[in-house]
Parts: sequence; structure tokens; C-alpha cells
Amino acid sequence: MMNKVILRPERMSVAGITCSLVATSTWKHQNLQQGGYLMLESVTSHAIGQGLITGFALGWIYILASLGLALVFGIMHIVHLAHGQVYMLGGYVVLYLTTLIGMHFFPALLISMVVMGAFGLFLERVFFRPVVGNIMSGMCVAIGLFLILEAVAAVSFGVSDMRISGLASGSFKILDWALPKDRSVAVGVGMILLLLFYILIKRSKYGQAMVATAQNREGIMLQGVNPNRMSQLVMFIGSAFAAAAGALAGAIFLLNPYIGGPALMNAIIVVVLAGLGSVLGIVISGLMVGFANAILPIIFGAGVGAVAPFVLIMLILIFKPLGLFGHE
Amino acid sequence: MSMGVAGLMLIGGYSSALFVKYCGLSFWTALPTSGLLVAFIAFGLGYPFFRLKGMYFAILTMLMGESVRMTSFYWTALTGGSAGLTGIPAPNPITIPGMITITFDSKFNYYYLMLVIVLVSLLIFYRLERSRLGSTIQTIKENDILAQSIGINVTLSKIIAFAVSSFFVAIAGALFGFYQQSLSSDAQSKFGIDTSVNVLIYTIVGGQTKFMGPIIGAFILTVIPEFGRGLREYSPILIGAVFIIVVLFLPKGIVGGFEDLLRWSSKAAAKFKARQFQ
Repeated sequence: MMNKVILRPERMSVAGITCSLVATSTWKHQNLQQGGYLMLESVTSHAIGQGLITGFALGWIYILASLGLALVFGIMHIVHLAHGQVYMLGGYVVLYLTTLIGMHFFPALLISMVVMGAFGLFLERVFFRPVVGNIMSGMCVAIGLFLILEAVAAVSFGVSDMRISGLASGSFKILDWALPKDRSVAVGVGMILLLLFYILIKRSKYGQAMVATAQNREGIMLQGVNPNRMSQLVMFIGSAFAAAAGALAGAIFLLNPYIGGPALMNAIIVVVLAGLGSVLGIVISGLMVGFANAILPIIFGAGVGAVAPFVLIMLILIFKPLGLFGHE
Repeated sequence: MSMGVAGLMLIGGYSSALFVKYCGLSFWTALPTSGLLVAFIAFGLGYPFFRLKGMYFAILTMLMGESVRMTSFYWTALTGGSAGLTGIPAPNPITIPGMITITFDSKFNYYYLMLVIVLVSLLIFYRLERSRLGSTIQTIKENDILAQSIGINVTLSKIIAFAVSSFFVAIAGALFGFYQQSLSSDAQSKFGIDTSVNVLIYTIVGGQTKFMGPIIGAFILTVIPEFGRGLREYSPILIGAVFIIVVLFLPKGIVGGFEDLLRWSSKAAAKFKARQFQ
């Protein structure tokens, strides 16, 4: 009877879980391997649900992080490879505000966004303005910043894993599903920030000027807009959003000086997948990458989960370099 | 501008180690074999990769390097996974009949072996740069559309150059593996993205267009941090700062900047002399 259950993993519902529990308790000594298999399967059906929720939150974090990358590239033609470090520093600002001063999470998040936005202005003025328009030099300067900021963070904050507390704890109960509160709040924060950004782009003069700058940096000067002002605007918004993403990631997952690199990789994947020039594209591909990162390791194991998105993005880069939603 | 050097280095290191450990090849055959293997892989990757240019190429190679590293990290059966590949034997000794036997068990002797291989590679590179391929690549670098118009197959030349350089990258990875006698491919290892970035930095700091550039760049940026060994965690700050300064103020790198300085000073001296004659 047990073998029948093993051969039909699609029936791994509540009955499956109880079966596997029975199996492990009775067959433990005779057939450890089979028991292990059953346990794994029963965990999987539950874990996929949790993975979906985590993937949704992760997706919104990636959206916030990659918006800045896409904006900076669109306006300034610089691949901001130090964006992951801005994300990491934003997390640390919130960590120190909440632990040292005892501030609540949300005011600390706002302060962190402003602080990192100002830091973005500093980076723009000192490092990026001399290389605007020169893609390769911009990339090199950003690599230098990547090394400097990561080492500065490692020296001053230590390399141990930290976690920001105070986002939200516990979980909502919806039917049978336990919806963790921290992840839902992160999704809410991401949605609100994105909505504000969308209103800025569509309804304000600055947003329209920003879109125009992305289309033609020289032409915009004829309309009396200073393109450097636009660079400052995108660096402020991009860095602030990255800081918010870093703080949310630090509260849900963990925070150490080296989270910038993987976050940057994922943000690059999102931007490449989306292509340039589409906010909606970034939202969709951010959610896709978030789900992929959360679900693939559960279903296919850690190896495939880690490598598959990279290979997919390489194929997209080779065969469709404009991305899924991009235009010239 | 490739940012996936570490991935190719990893294939070279692991393949030569596996050849020696499981296929029973000796060090001296495994080294070129793994080099050729990686050169062939690079040749195959070349065609799709060189459809892209500039920034897209850099991102693509960066993703390639990382996915190779993660494949090897999770392919436990072949590479030992997170535990790493250990027990790589030292290179077989050379026996010159009737004279001496040189063993490479000690790091000291191994250093001289590496030095010889590096010098030989540099000699090959020096010849290559002055060969037909070298001048073709130089032409493509200056103007690829013009190069195409005079009948150079731009993509094929780029692919060949990529394959040739990958051969030496693989040799570097293999030498590293036999030096350490163990290999690991986690993110903090020598095959992480840091190595690719560092190689790029050495090249640009030294000067991309000059033969001596990468040598000088690698020498300066690896030797200087050794003086402050206790401050190891500060060395990326120094390297990053040097890199940014060079990119912003010395677009030709240190070697190019030095040559410009020499030219300027000789011109200034000539001017000074001319004025004195008057």
C-alpha cells in the first residue's frame, strides 16, 4: 500500500502527509531511504505555498531595486554596478536607526531613503557626472565604487549576518493558508512606492521631463531642461528605492555587507528581462524573477534553481537583447 | 571587455585536476589538454557571444562566469561541491637523464615552474601581437566597420582571439589548482566574480592598448596590498580608488600615461633647447 502512495506524488495532500508520517514511524528501521523520500514529498507541497508568498515579496524587493538601475541607465547611460551596495547601505541605515535610537521601522525606512537618496546625489556629482554618456568608463567607475563601498561596509559594520527587527511579526490566517505579516507588509510598501513613482512619471512635469531625457538627452536642453538636474533626480529616486528594498530584504531575510552583489545580479536579470523603457515590464519581470528564485530551488533543488535563471537570461540577451517588454 | 574570466579559469582548473586525478594523465599533458578544452569551449561560445557588444557583452560574460561557478558548486558528484576538490597531486618531477631530477612538491620549486610558464606565455603573446592576428585585432579595435570593409572577418577574428586568450586563462586556472592542491568554487573563492573584476581592473589600470599594460597593472595592484598585510580588508578600497582615478584621469592607463609624460617632456625639452639657441 505504501508503495502505491510513493508512486503517485500528485496525491500528496493531507492524506499524503499522514501517510508519510505513518511510513516514517513504522518503516524507519527497515527502509530509511523510502521514508526520507516520503517526508521530502510531503514537505514540498507545503513549502511551495510558502515559496509562492516569499517569491511575491522577493519580487517586489527586486522591482524596487531594479527600478533605480533601469532609471540610471535610461537617463545617464551608466550601468550602475554599485547599486547593490546602495541597497545594502540602506539596510544598514535602518538597522542602526532601529537598534541604536530605538526608532520604529517605518520612520527609519523613510529616513534611510532620504539619506541614501542624498548619497546618490553625492555619487552622481562626484563620480558619474564626468563619465555621463560613456558607457564603458561609467561601468568602470561603478566597479570601483562597488569595491570601495563593500569594503567600507565590511570594515565598519563587521561581516556577521544581521536582521532588522520591527517590520511585522506573526501571520494572517486566510482559510488554511498562513500569510506571514512581514512579507505582506513588504509587498504593500513596494506597491505604495511604485504607485508614487508612477504618479510622478505620468502626472508631474518632472516625470515628463525625465521620460523626455531618456528619449533624447540633447533635445531636452532645447526645451530648457537641465539634463544634469534629471540625472540628480533619477539618482535620488533610484538610490532611495534601493535603500527601501535593502531595508525590506534585511527585515525579511538577512543583512550582511555582501548582499549587494547577489542583489545586483538579480536586478540586472530583471532589467535585462524587462528591457528598457517600460515600468510595467519591470514589474512583471521582477515578479517572475522573484517567483523563480523562490520556487525553482524547492522543486528542482538548489543547483538548478541557482543556475536556470542565469542561463535563461543569457539566452534572452543573445537572441532578444531588447528584452521582453523593451523598445528602442 | 569580458567579465567572465573566472568561469573559464574555473573550467581550466577543475578539468586539469580531474584529468590528473581520474584519467591518469600527467601534469604535463593535462595542462595543455585543459587549455585546449577551454579554448574549444570559448570557440563555441564565441559565435553567440560576439553578437553582442560593449555593455551587453560585459553583462553576458559576467552571467556566464557566475553560472559556470554555480554549476560547479552544485555538481557535487564531479567537483566535490561545497566541500571542494581536494588531493590534487603535485606536478610530476622532471628528470633530465644523467643530471638531476626536479621535483615540484615544494611551493618554492613550484614558483619557478609558474614563472617559467608565465614567461613562455608572455613570449607567445608578444609574438602573437606582432603577427597577422594581432594587427587584425588592432584594426578591429580601432574601427570595426572599416575593418569589415577591407575584407576582415570581424566576428571570426574576435572568436579566434577569444579562444586563444581563453587557452591561457585555463592554464592560469590549472596552475592555481596545482598550487593550492585543492579547489573550491564558492562565491568567496578565487573563481568568484571578484577575480573577473580584478583582472579587468589590472588591465585597465595598466593600460589596455599596450603590451606592458596588464603586466604593470597586475604587478602594481597585487604587490602594493602585500605591504599592508595586516590591513587586508582595506585593500579593495585602495584598488577601487586607484581604478576610479585611472579611469577618470588617465584613460590610457598607467603605461599610456607614462608614455604621454615622456613624449611631453621630450617635446618640452626640445622647445627649451630651441629657445636657448635663439
